[in-house]
Amino acid sequence: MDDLEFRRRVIVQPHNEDQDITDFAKQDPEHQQFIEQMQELDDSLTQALDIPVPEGLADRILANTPEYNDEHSAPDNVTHENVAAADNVINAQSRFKLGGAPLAMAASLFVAIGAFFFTSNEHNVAYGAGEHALTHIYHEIGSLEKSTEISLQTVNEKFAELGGKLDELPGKVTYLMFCDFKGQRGLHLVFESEHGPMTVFIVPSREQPFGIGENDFSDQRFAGRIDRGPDADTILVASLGAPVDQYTNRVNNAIRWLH
Amino acid sequence: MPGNNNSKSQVLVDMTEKKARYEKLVHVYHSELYRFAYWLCRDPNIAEDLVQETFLRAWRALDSLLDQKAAKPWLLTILRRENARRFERKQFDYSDVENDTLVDEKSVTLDDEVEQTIVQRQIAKLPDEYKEPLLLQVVMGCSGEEIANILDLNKNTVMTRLFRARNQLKEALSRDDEQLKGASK
Repeated sequence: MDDLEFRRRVIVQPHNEDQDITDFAKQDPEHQQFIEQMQELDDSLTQALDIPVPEGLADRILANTPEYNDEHSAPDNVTHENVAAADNVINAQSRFKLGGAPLAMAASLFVAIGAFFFTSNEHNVAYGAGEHALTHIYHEIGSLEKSTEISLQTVNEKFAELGGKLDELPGKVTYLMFCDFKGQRGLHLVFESEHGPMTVFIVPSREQPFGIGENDFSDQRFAGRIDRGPDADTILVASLGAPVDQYTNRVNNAIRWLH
Repeated sequence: MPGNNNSKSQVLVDMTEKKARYEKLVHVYHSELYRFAYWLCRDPNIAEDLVQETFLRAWRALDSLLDQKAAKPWLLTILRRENARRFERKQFDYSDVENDTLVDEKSVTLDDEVEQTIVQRQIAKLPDEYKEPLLLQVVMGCSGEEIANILDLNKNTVMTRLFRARNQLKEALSRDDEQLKGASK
């Protein structure tokens, strides 16, 4: 990789975590600084575009969908027309079922290929989940220095895309981003606490776990804990010496999944 | 007739399922679609109409959405088509200055507010062909490949446009920054 390619890729995707980008940045503090600058620009774009959504919009949309409301309010009045319409629905669904077989085969092939690479690649085996979480934090170290509060509503609007909801967080949220965790889209947020800023990753685990390795991990600066759940793996990382267990439990108890 | 009763209850089951799918789509995507629509037309009322119309059409065509994972690009395609229709009906330029200062009032300081307005202004100045891929990336969280599919472009073109959009913003914002510093001296 040369300097030009590096800059180009960082400009296009400032939160890009590709190994070759990370390795290239390590060679020169100026490269690292460039990544941080571009991430800061990206964060300010996200904030500037994050305008408030009118209150009650979802309810208005549902209320203004006439056919949806007809069926909603008078489910007993099934007319012949409705039955005919429903026949179409059934047909459409049976097409879906037919389409399911190749899809399932493709999915299982995908899992098989994934399993092959996962087990045959020594580098991956040695690269534990905790290490991955720490690398991610160092890569976006600027995320720990934010101070503007992001409301819980904004957090939940993003989290809803992954099918989840947070009842509360132990402190003021100052950073919020969708991030790529080895191909899996997850939520990356930072909240303030008595023990300094804490990072939380919520990564859906229905298709693949966050990674293997010990559930407790640390280095000279941070300590973290991975909580593996059926819907998502939650990873909390705090400054060394902070009561990580206690905060991990509080965050986990506040997560609801909308099934 | 028992057969008739069965088909009646099947209809109800199907409708309940369809309704649940629709509710989920609305709850998951309405905020992001509203923001995307707002930045396309820069008018809160038109943005709300666009999102409403998008979901109406989505409800009517819901059976054609076979894979729930394809919902986002599917909804975006409907919304972009609706937006294009708006221009066929009447040609307006909504990018006027009055709409410039729309910031999240919940949680910003004056400095943040000024910064957000400056950034918004610069984004509005981008040519549409650069702005739309950027909005899809930042507001909708789409990957380069998804953007390429939605805009019917090849991925390299999308990457080039994203680069140009972000590079222009980078340069324009550092110019603004210098002017601000100069003004405060």
